[in-house]
Amino acid sequence: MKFFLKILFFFITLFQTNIVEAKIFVLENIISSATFFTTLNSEKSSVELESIFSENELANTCKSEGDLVAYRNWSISSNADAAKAGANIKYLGRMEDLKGIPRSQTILDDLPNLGSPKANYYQNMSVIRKNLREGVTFKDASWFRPNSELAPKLNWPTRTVGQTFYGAERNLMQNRGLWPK
Amino acid sequence: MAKINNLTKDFIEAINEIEIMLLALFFKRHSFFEKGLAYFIEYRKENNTRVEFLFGPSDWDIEMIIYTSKGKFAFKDLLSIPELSSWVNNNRYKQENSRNIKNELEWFIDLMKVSLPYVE
Repeated sequence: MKFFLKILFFFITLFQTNIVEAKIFVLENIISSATFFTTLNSEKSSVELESIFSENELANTCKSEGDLVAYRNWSISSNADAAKAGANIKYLGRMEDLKGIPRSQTILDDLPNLGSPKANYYQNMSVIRKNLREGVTFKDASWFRPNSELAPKLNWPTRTVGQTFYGAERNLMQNRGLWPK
Repeated sequence: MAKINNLTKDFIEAINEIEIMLLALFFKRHSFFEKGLAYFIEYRKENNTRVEFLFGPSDWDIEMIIYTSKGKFAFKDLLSIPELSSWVNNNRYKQENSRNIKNELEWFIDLMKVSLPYVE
């Protein structure tokens, strides 16, 4: 009887172990296959998503390859225009208002004293016209000063802004329709 | 300094010569700023009163601006004070045949001496 029980116990133990091992084996297979499929799916999905995003992006940006080239060219040219416009802006104004403006954005370098107000006036107008021909945009650094504001000088205490060289510059720009009156 | 002309040279020499008058009024040179052919020279006093002389194109006139705790006073602002306006009328600057930058600067310093009690 004891012997029979021992054999039975042996078989039961053996069987249980096999079941557990089988369970473990099966589970491992399931897990590994599941992991494999998940990895595969995630890789697949990321590649798919990437292509979808890039397609959408392109589709949203441009309708065709030609449009893409045009868009890129527009972007390059607009950047160049912005840089060019920054370099092509100069300011006219009363000297105290030009103090804070970069030297390259004034015409102070181009106006040496020629000895008489008449010669200086013609030089001034000539320099402005030359800059305008070159595509320079002039801005008014003293826009807040009306022509009637006093701009006295030693021997002319009643002189107004309109009677200064800056007044003449403003007049030229307004006559050309480049500055508001 | 490449295109410096006689008038500018006179101005720079004159400002150095009259500096002693400014020192007597306790103003010390604070900055000498050149922009193209324009010059901006600033003097400061210990109480933060500042005086700035400007000279350059296209008018080639000397401009004097006084900055005090009460605000900014250019020549036009000083003329709006009746006492100073009458002083300017009574002490008109008389130009002889050609411009004398030193005399012009001295006149401005005289105006500043009269003006400081009103604007400080």
